[in-house]
Amino acid sequence: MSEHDEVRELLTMAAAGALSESEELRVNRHARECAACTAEIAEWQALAAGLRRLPTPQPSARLIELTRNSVARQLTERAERRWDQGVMISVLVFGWVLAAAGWMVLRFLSGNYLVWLSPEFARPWLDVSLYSGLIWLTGGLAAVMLGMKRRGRQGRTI
Amino acid sequence: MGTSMISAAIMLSEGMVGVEAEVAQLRRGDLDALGALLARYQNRLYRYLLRLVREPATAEDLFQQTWLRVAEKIGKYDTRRSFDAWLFTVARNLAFDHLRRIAPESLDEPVGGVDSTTARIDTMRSKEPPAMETLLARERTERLAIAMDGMALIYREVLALRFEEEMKLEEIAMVQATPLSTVKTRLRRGLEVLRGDLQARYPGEVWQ
Repeated sequence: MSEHDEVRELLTMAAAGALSESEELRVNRHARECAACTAEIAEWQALAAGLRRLPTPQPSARLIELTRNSVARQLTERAERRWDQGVMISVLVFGWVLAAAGWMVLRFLSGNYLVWLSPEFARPWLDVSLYSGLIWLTGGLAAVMLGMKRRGRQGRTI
Repeated sequence: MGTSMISAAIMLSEGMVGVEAEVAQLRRGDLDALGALLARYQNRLYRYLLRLVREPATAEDLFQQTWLRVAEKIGKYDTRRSFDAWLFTVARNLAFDHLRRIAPESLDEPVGGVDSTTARIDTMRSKEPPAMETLLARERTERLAIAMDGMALIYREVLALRFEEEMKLEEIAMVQATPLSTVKTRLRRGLEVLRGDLQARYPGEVWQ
């Protein structure tokens, strides 16, 4: 393949600005001496320039507004969901801590009156029932709180 | 010349800083940042989607879906990557999913280069009123738009990303998830197909 043919292969990419530095130098050097390649480069460049000048269709203002609103709604919902999850996790952790520490506090406050509340291996069924009940109560309370908050939000949006 | 290049470089770098700042704000859930990004990319993104699907209603739907997906996935965006490339990749994936559902054959690498499906040529035409002095140039532009719209998807896309969106080849490779060599091949072939089509449609026309 001659130098002319090899350079011709590069002309399309030259117009697309996709040549390496050395390829570009090679094309320029050859084009200075080759009228055919110079003309062809001009033709490819005109086509590339035409592509850059193609009209840009504009999205309607209504579409932009709709998009902005839908994304805003999604971001708000996500933030609220995260907050709800945070509250639920905090309340559950609090419930577990309360359940684990509760018996000690109760014993201390009641002066050993409520000693039967302390977990003992001898009656695990009672301990499990009591502390599970306490945890469920805390979890239920959290659920009611979140439900009320959500209903309040829905009421505001309607 | 030198001064204009420097100011262009400064503007470009300020633009990039602006994008990065807006992306960081959006990651924190800031709605103002969303408005700024929308304003920055709305025309380019809509034009790209319209170039892919060629139907304004579908492009509008995909435009909304793209921004919803951006808001959803912004936390996973790697800030070391170009945001342009990431945004256009999100849009492309949605558009290709849509095309895969309605016309799977349009995604195949073409043998010829011109799309066999009917091109909806009116969608890309300029809506500005005609002026006598620009009539000829406008006619050429419209012819080019028609030819571009009739091309196979894979070439239409690469030409749009390179010449309309002015993306670097590396960014196009990221968007199309293909090697750089494939992008170059598609770009060259796309230009050749376009010129061939124009010459066949309008013999003797000089594109200068």
